[in-house]
Amino acid sequence: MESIKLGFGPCLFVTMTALLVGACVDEDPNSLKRRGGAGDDPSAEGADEGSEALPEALQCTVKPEGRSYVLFDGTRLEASRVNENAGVNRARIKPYAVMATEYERVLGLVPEGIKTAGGSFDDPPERWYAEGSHSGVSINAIFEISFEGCLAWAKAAPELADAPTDESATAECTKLMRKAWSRTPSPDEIAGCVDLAVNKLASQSDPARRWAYVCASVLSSSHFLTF
Amino acid sequence: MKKLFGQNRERGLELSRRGLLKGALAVAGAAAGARLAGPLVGRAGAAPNGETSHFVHIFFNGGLNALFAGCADKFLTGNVFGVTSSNILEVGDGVFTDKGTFGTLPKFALDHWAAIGIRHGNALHTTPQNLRSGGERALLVNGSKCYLNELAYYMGGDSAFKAVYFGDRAPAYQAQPKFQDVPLERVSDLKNALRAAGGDGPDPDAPEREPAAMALETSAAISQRQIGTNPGRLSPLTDAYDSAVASLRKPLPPPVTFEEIDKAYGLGGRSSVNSFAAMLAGAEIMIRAANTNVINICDFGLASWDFHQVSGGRSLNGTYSRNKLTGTGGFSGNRIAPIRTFISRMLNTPGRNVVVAISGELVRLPNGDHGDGTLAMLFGKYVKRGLSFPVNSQARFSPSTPGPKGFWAAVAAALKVPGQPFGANPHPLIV
Repeated sequence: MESIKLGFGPCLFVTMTALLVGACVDEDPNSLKRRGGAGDDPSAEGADEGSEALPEALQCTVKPEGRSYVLFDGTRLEASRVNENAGVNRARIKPYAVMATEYERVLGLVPEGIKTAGGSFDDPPERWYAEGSHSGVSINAIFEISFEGCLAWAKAAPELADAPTDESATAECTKLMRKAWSRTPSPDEIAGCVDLAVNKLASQSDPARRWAYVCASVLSSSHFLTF
Repeated sequence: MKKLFGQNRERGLELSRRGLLKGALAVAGAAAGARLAGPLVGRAGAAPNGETSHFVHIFFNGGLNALFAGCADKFLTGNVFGVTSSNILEVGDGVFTDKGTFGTLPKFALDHWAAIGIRHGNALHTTPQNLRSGGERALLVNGSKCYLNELAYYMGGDSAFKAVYFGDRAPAYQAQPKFQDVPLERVSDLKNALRAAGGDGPDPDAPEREPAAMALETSAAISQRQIGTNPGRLSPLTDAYDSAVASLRKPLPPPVTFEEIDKAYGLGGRSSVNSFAAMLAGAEIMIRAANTNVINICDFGLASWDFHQVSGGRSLNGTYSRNKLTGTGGFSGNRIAPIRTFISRMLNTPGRNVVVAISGELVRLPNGDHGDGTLAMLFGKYVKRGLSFPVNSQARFSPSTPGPKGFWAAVAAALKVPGQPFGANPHPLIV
C-alpha cells in the first residue's frame, strides 16, 4: 500500500478516494468527475445526453507515476480513473457558529448583526450539522453585517483616517486580505481591492465609510466565508 | 404498523421542522413597521397586455388527495375518505371540493379553478434516499433542468430574484441547476429579504446601495479563482453575488410595510418565518417587492402529507388532510387560512397576472395508498373553471392523461408566456 502511494502520488490518492465516494454518493456535488443532471434519469422528459465536462481548472495535469494493471478483460485499471487534481474542491462554507469569532479575529470586534443572523447562515439546530450555502439575499445580509463591523473598525483605526491612496490601499488591502483569508492574496486580488478603494469609491467623502466598503468587500468574499 | 409509522412520522417531522428552521426564514422584529422598498425589485415578465407575471407553486410533499383538488364528488359513493354530500362543495363546471377547506376560497378563485390531471407515472416519494425517483422529482425536474427556473427564464423580465423557493430543503431535495443564467435561490430569512429590499428605511450607518453594489462586485471578482477551483460547494456563490448586485441596482418598488403583511397573515407580530403562513407572506413580499417570477413553497418535513392511516379498513387520509389544512386534530398551524389570504390579496391584483398552482406529490387511492399522478388546482385570471383529465372514483387517471410537461405547458399558457416552451398545452382550460 505504501509503495502505491509513493508511486502514484497525490492524484492517485484523490482518484481512489473518488472511486469510493463516487460509488456511494454520486449525487454529492463534490464527488469527482461530477455529472450533471443529464445522466440522472435517462428516461425523464427532456433528458440530455452526455455528462458535464470536467473544468480545466480541476483537471489533474501532472501525469501520475505509477504502475499499470491489466484486468481480466484486458482493459487497464487506471483507464477508468476519474480525473481531478489534488487540492481542489475542498472549500467549505464556514458554519454560523464560528462567524462571530471570525469577525473578532479579523476586526477585533463582533458586529451586533451577526448575533441574530443564524437564518442567514442556515444555522442548524443543536446537535445537528448541515453545511450552509448562500443566496443573493444572504450575501446581501453578510455584506451588511460585515459593513457594520468594518465601519466600527475603520473609525477606530487612526491609520484609516484619510481617504485611501494607491499606497495606503495596497498596504491595507494586503494586510486585511492576509488576515481575513489566512493566506497571502495574489497580485490580481490586491489590485481588485485597490481599484475599489481608490477609483470606484472615489466619490465617497467619508474616509471611514470608504474603508468600510473595502473591508466589507473582503469579508464578503468566498475566501473569508469558507475554510 | 403503517398507521403508527404515519403518525409518528408526522409528529417527528413537526419537531424536526421547528428545529431545522430555527432561526431561518425569519422576519425581523426590527423590520416591523419598516417600509419594504427596495433594490430587489425588478421588472417581472410582461404579459402581452402589459401585466407582470408571477407563478406560485404550493406543494404538499407526500401527497394531496384529489378530493380537495376538484374531484370530491368521485368519492361520494361509499363515503370514501369521509366524503359526504354535506361536507363537499359544488364549485361548478364539474369541480367539487372539500367545503370546509378549499371550499372557503374567495369567489374569484372558485370562478377560475381548473383541476389539472398529471399522470407522472411514479407512485413513490422523492426523498433523500430516493433522489432519482418519486412524484416530486417527476413533477419538478425536467431531465437535467428544473421546471421552476426554466419557466422563470421563459417568463422574461429582469427581477434580481426571478425564481426562489421557501421551505426546509431544495425542491426534489437537490440544489437545482440554473437555467440560462436563472438560478433557483432559497429565501431562508425574510429579515434579510426585507433588509436587502431597503425595508428598514433610512439608516445613516447602513451601506448605500451603489457603493455596496460596487463592493460586492469586487467580492465576486476576487472570489472567482477560488470558486473556479471549488465548484462543488461554491458555484452557487456566483449566482448569489450576481443577484445581490443586481438587486442593489433596481429601482424602488411601491412600499410594503411589515405591519400590513403581519396583520394580513396573522403572524402575531412574530418575525420568525417558520410557519406555513409565513411562507405565503413571503411569497407576497417577493412578488410585490422583488417582482419575482416563480416562487415554490413546499410544506415542511419529509413526506409530511403521507397519511396511510386506516380505521376499520377505511382510509383516514381525508380526515388527516383536513385536519392538517385547518390545524386541528393535533396538527399545528392552519394552512388553508394563509392560502386563502394570499389568494384573496394577490390573485386578482391589477397589473399583475398571478397564477397559483396547489399540488401534491401524488393522489391517494381509496385504500389510502399512493396513486401514480397528481391533480393540481390551477388558479389565475386567465384560467377557466373545469376539470381536465380528472381521476375516477378509484383515484386513477385515464391512460391518456398528460404528464408533467403538459401541466407546465398549461401553467405557461395561463401566464401568457410567449411561444410554447413546454410544448402545446393539452389542457384547454385557459382563456
